Amino acid sequence: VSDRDEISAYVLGDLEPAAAERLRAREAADPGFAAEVAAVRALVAQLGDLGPEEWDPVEPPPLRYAPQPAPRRRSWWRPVTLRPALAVTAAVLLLGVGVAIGALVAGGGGGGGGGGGRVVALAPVGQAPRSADGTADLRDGTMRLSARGLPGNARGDFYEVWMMRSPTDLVSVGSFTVGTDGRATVDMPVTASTARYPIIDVSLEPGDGNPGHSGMSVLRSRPI
Amino acid sequence: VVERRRATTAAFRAAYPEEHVSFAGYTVWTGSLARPRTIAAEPRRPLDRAERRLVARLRSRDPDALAEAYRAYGAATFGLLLRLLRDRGAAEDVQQQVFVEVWRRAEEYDPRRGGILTWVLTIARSRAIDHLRKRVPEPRDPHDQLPRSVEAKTDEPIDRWRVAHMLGRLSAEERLLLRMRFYEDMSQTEISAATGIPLGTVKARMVRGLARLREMIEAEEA
Repeated sequence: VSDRDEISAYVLGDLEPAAAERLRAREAADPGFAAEVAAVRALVAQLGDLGPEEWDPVEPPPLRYAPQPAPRRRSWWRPVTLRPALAVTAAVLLLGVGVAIGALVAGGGGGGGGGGGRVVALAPVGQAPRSADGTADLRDGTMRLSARGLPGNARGDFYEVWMMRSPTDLVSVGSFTVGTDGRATVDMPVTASTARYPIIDVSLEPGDGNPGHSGMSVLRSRPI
Repeated sequence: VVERRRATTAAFRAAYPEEHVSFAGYTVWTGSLARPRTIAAEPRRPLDRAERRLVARLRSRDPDALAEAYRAYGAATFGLLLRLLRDRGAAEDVQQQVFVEVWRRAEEYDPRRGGILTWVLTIARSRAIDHLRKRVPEPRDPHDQLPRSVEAKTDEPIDRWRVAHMLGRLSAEERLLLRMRFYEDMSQTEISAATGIPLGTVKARMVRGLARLREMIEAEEA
């Protein structure tokens, strides 16, 4: 039993006679203790005086006043303090913004492989083997084209990558050759906009010196 | 008194529905004393820390802080105003003024002079006095002080409402036992009989509640 509990019991008259007598003596001899007892007695008297309105307070009316938040201070300089979690979040956001801006800049502003990180599936078309396929990973103003299952190139011919809007509106992205394993992975800069040229096409080009599309597509994407 | 006792006993039984059984016309407490239960125990918030946070938010002009202050102290100020003004309409109007002032004067609050409850109650008292001054029949000298009797009778209710507010911070069980003792005028034996709690336990819990009440008031005054 703490001293305070004992005082409360004493004031409430709950102590055994011997204990009560001991506290009475201490109260008479110790002014500090007597003050504490007097405070508890006053509290007990207050409790006894409380009326129904204090024991069962009525619900206050709703607060009608709607304060406005403090206006934000504007200053040219103020120390910046960041919590670790906030700092990490800010760093990630800044990195994302930087990557996006980099992609736009490298892609010629509004051009280029559609911004940060888009992988487009390529499916066989025309005379290409049904097992042929590939992907075009458009990222940071470049295209990484991966293909497999393509016939190996014969002497002089090659594959050419296009970005198309229609059979007559298209731009060349680059060219590559495939060995006997039928695989190729090539990185090519992309300056055209995927918004303008949404289809990626791979054609087999004969080495005839004609810079136009041969009409022999082997892989093609759906519109991006 | 009989009605009050019935209401309180009913509240107690409602709080322990599974631990009372009716037997031969009596309701008998069956709760296990081996596992002390807190009846719908309310969270006991750390007094100083919570108040410090609230004051800091008020000072930083956080509107939610005012709503929180109103939830915490609105009942006490409204009770005080009702007692001082004896006019519900006036009390409602002054209540709004009090919390506008709490918002506007948060910077002036000095924790060294007392707890936030005391500060808010003091504002309420001041606004109540202002309102009472307006009621003094005309004509009167505007330099006259408010009649002493009016000011004097506003002191004691602050203390009452401070205690009433602190009662609300006790656990439901502690508050109930103190209510039975001091409001229902029940002896501890009668409380024991009404609740089924052994007499010794009633005494111990009542003592503890009183001691906690005293601690909270000291903290408020510190």
